[in-house]
Amino acid sequence: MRNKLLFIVLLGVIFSMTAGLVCVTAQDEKSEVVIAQISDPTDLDPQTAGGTTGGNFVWNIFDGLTIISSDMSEVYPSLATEWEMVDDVTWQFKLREDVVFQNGEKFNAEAIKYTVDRFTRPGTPQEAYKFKSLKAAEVVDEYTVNIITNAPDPLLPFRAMEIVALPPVYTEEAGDNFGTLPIGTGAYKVVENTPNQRIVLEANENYWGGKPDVDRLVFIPVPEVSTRLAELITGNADIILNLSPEDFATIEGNAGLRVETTAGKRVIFVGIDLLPDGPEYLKDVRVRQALNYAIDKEAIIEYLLNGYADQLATLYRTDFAGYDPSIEPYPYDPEKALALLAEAGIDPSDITLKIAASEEVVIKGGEIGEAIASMLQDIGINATADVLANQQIRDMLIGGQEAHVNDELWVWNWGVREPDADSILSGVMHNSGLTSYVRDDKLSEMIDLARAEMDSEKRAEIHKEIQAYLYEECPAIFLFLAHDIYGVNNRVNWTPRRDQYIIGKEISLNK
Amino acid sequence: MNEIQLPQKEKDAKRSSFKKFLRLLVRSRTAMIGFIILIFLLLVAIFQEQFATQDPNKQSLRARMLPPAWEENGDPAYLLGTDQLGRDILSRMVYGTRISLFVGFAGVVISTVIGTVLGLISGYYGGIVDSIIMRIVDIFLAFPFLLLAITFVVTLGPSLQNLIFVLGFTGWVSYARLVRGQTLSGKEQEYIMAARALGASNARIIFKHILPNLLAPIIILSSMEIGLYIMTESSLTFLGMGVPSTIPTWGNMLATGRNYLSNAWWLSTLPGLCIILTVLAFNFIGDWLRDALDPKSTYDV
Amino acid sequence: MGRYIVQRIVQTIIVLFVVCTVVFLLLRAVGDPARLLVNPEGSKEGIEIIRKSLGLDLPLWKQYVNYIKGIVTLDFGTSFTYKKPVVDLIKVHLPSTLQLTFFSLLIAVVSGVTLGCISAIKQYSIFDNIATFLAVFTRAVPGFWLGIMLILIFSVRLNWLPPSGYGSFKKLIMPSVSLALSMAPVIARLTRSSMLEIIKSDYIRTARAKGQTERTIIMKHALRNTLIPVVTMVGLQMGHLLGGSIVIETVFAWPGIGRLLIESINVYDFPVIQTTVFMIAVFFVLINFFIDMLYLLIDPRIRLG
Repeated sequence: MRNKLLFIVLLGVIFSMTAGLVCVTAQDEKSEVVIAQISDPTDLDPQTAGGTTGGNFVWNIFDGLTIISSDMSEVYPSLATEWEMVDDVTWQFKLREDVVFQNGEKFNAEAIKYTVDRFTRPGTPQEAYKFKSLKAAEVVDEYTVNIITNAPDPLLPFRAMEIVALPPVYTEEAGDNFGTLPIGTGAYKVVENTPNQRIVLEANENYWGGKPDVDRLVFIPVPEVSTRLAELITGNADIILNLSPEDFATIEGNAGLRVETTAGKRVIFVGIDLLPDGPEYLKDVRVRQALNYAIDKEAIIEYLLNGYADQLATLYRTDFAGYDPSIEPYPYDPEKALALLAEAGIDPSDITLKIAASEEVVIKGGEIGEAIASMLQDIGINATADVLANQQIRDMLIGGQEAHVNDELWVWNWGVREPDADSILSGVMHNSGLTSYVRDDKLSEMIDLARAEMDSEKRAEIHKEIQAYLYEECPAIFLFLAHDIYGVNNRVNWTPRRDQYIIGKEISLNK
Repeated sequence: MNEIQLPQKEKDAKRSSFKKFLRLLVRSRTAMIGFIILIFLLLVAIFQEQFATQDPNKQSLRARMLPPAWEENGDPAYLLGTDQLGRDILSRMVYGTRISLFVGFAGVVISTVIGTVLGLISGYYGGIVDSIIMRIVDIFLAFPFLLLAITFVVTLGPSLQNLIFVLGFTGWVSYARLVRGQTLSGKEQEYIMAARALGASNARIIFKHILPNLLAPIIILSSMEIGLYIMTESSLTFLGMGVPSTIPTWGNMLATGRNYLSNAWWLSTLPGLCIILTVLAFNFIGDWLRDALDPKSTYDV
Repeated sequence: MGRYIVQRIVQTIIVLFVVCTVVFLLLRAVGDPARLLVNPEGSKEGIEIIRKSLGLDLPLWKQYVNYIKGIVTLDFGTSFTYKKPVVDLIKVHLPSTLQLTFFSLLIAVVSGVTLGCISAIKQYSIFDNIATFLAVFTRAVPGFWLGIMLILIFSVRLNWLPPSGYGSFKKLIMPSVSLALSMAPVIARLTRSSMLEIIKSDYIRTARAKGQTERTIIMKHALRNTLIPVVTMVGLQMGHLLGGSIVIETVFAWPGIGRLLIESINVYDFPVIQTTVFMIAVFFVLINFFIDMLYLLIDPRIRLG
């Protein structure tokens, strides 16, 4: 009797736990697109949400003053209809007059001023944010605003995409909760945000640009690539991110699915430890050139990435201002590498290099790191790959110059949205860069010079000089520009953007 | 599953125990299979240079992800195909044998030593010492194992030694519980009471009387745990916390190959088979040991 | 009885306290969350500002005191990354993990006990051999691999079940089966050996002698006593089950505590990790307490000493 009772109690407990599951989600007439990415952002506040997963939401929920074209070459009006430079540090933006926030708040110059003030208030983590040149905003009239920079910034119209309008009243009211359920002027509004489960956006009926075609966007986080792929194949997801080239065959074998690729924004390279107390042999330019000669970049691109990457001669993408097509990438030439090492009087077996790499930082990062280690071993260098998790490699490298516990080399990437090298150079080549292990006063000087030069011709000239200098000095091993690969269901009409953001109003459904 | 029959148990009992084990071994078909697999694996581990057809770390990007030789596009030079960096799977599996077995053995040895010492102390002395040790056991049980492993690996850095340390340091709990239980019941036995009455020292009682009786259950448990450790290594690699991929281990190959399961099955399936075979072998041997070492079960049938 | 419970509670508090302290210290050795939170385009000052805003600039002992104070007052702090109270996050993630754990426990216990009983009754039969082999097989296959295989077969090939996600019974099946498969064989083996022992014991022999049917003997006498070690085992395995759910939840994108934990580890979100581990420990301790009480129900002979 007693155990029967027990059994019934136990069953009751278990069934009540699971009963809630057997519910059918209501089907409605709304059109829906499901997007599966690796993880979802923890924070939707546009001033703190970093990375691409965050970006997928920012420009759906909000609008910037400007927006860059899908190939990142041009700036288009968004909340601002036109803009002009008043003086070296002041830009004047004329704003749209027909815009309201999703909660009915009015959009005007005050909102932009509020946004910029929030961006630049001292003592908050926002100061650590990338928009370093932004200083203040001044209201000129109801729909005109002046943006003031710390120093001349020729790229401000591109960067103004980052100035997304926040509703002053709601933002203040919501406080920390703003990052969970934000409100903007954008084409979509957040209706559900369940961490690690899904984020649901619904079309904004009153969007100033017209109601978007797709009624509902559902973003689901699916960390495993096999599972993501299964979601696409079974038709549960319409767009999946971060595929590897091997999955092409699987997708194309399924009728109704296609692969979309685009040249990305991320420059992949191998950083070198050039700090004053770093290894001596890396300070010899011949050794660094030898490293560049010793790596068969073409093989990595062709075999590891199935051709989905473009080799780069330096850190400059072809669309960067002042890109110099006359500089050819270092060819694969192990003989030359050995000759250079001999010239430097260094026996390759005396060189020990550990190469930090992570799958989560660079597509196939681990495999690339191992391939590079193997190629360096081929010329007799003691190289080993150090494949790490994302948090380990970031903890090691970001701001780690003082602790200096990093490996000698690391496979790293830098995404740049503007057609200009300033961001990557400031970040990884300038003496003050947070992930820069280069200490070269001449290079830093040139970078500063280029950043402040408002004349585009002259700036291009400086960038040509920098490229030649980088090529000669080899403060990094130059690799390639990675392509982004997406799996897409054919019922969805969409082509990827180069900046990697998925913007809902650019998606339509095939009827 | 054991084919043990003991029609002449009276006679058996009189023979030396070693001979009895051998008899049991020959009679148990599964144990034989287990031993054959294990001996084969040990041979592979010892003579890995002879078994491997290639350098296990030699990459060849051009020969990347070749299928096994019998499949279309297979290359006889790579009998079981190549992995995502064009390394020979067969050779990596051969070299992985020694490392994987070592990970399993070394982890189990560490666990056994910690667990046995603490379990003995706990069970033999009882009282407050027992309480403290058992609460430590509770702490370890309450702490999700994988989290402990992850934090260790993140803190200490990924390497083979650290991995073994992590496995050993987190796995001792089951030994401690087992040994404590056995000691508790053991020390109440009449002959130990008698030994104590005769003035035998604690050390003498522990080493002469209690420890020998613990050997059987410990060996049985260990035989089961080794496979589990080899497998856990794989789960850690899956979570990005395993040994560096430059060290070929089965678990490592299984975990890194999983991303290619739908287009290159051999990358993770073959090392997975190795793990299954090993675990199977150890389980067969463990079952047989239980029947052979545990006097109770020989009175069966 | 009352004294026993008080003793248990005091010991439980000590255990939880040590777990909290160990997590705290381990995390401080792991790394610097500010470096993961800063934008790589930012500056060194940015790292300092973040550190300050998270309270990581305080001396270690002060952080520790704040942390313990928080636990005592049930204020678990604010997540570094989600910027909301950790308790809210736990609330969102807990139900899915409980569903997964309980459902897989149900599968594991029912299938494990059934298989184990049949194996014991029909010892050395073909069925017993197959069951043993299956048990070993599922023990030897890592959960993530099994999970991916299930997805490839039941979602991609057969299109019977959705590959991942949360919110319907269909989505629960594969994750709980893969989680149960690591536990069911252990239960089956234990049931088998404990049943074998009992079948040969005196009172079963007596029952047999009294002419009761085999069915009554097994169901009425043997099974109940067989369940005692099984229940203990289930309690001890809870930790493993929760650990295993980290892997399974990742494979099946299941929005549970395991996912929350691994995502927080990925960004060194200390408050979330600390609280999650604390909750898991509490859960584990409660389960074992519950099991001790169950003993009293299953076997009246057991009296707490």
